Amino acid sequence: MASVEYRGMNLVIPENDSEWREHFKLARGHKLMLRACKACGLMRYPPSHGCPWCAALEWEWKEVSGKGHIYSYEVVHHAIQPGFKDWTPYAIVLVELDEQRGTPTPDEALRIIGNLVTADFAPEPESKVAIGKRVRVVFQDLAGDFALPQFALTDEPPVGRVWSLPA
Amino acid sequence: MRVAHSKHASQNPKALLKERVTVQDVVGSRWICKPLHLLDCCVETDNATCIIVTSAERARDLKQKPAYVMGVAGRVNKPRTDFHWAAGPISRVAGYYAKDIVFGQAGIKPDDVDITGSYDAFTFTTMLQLEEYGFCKKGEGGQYVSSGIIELGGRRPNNTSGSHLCEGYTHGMSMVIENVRQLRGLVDDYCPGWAEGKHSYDYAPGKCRQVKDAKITMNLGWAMPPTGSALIMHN
Repeated sequence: MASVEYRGMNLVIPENDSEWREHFKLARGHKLMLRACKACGLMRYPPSHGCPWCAALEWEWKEVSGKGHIYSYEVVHHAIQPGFKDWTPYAIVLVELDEQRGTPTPDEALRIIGNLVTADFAPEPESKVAIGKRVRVVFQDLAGDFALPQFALTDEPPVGRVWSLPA
Repeated sequence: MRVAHSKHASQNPKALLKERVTVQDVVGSRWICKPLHLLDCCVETDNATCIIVTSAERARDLKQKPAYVMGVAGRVNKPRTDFHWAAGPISRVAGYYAKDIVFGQAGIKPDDVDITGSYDAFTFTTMLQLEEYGFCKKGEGGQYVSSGIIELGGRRPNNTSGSHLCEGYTHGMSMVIENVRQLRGLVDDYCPGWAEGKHSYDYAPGKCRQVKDAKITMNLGWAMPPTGSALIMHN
């Protein structure tokens, strides 16, 4: 049983959780690794056992760049975990990765949820968050075999129309 | 959505929140998770509901007037139910896939429905479902709701009991029960003779919530964005 402390909370990942344990362990090497289907080649997230498109069970880890754009977001004002109370209001972003955009159907993509953080892993202010803005993955090391993938804004030009919630 | 459902709750003696609210009350309430305000969220309650389903033949002998099932779509899923936001447009929910099943069975169109009952854990869940089932076009839910169509006295009232936002949270079951009451003409409002089916059809606060001559009702059920069920009944 791996137990890691994060913002005063215990993140517990059981030994037999073959999906998440390895994902976070690989993140400690600062690589964003997703599962790719050995039959059809498509990657998926979260790292589930079966391929969501062709149902094949054979898979392999594949590294992605961790670059993408904000597909959607929300701003938490009422934290349900005590560890995030002093963060409020903070944004949770849904990031669409560059790899595999529009595959296998035009509306499909690899989308990952994370916090939008500054260089010192504090939450970006709401005024900086917008749909379309470019981000890259950053890794917050929490233990020798555990890092949390998070996202940070980049200077790259945005994707499509930039939109944010009215203040 | 919240304003409409609060109007309906003011006609429901059993509703937890009977006070009518304004649009200003809703957008002025504190943020919970932006874009949702406090009044965009349902009330949390402990309660129980019960529905008896039997054959039409048996139902004829029972004391209560039956409501007849015209169509059912049960646990219809969007592709990739594991993580809704990974598949398709994020605003597309299960109703998009359930509508042809349930309307096909019933042999009717959205326009034939007199009353809708839609899951409203949040205001947006009902909005998305009204769009997906074709009561208005995708993206036009806001206009549909604010036009007054969904209010008592409107063309197609939605959630006439006040539902999850105001009456109490029951995973959508209370809206099925409410539609059965509507089809029977036995809505338990403030009309003194409601138990005999005598209604004033006065939709002022603290009065009537019976829809006149309701013939066909529909329930739009939501388990999560990619999974939902639907039910069409007639009297």
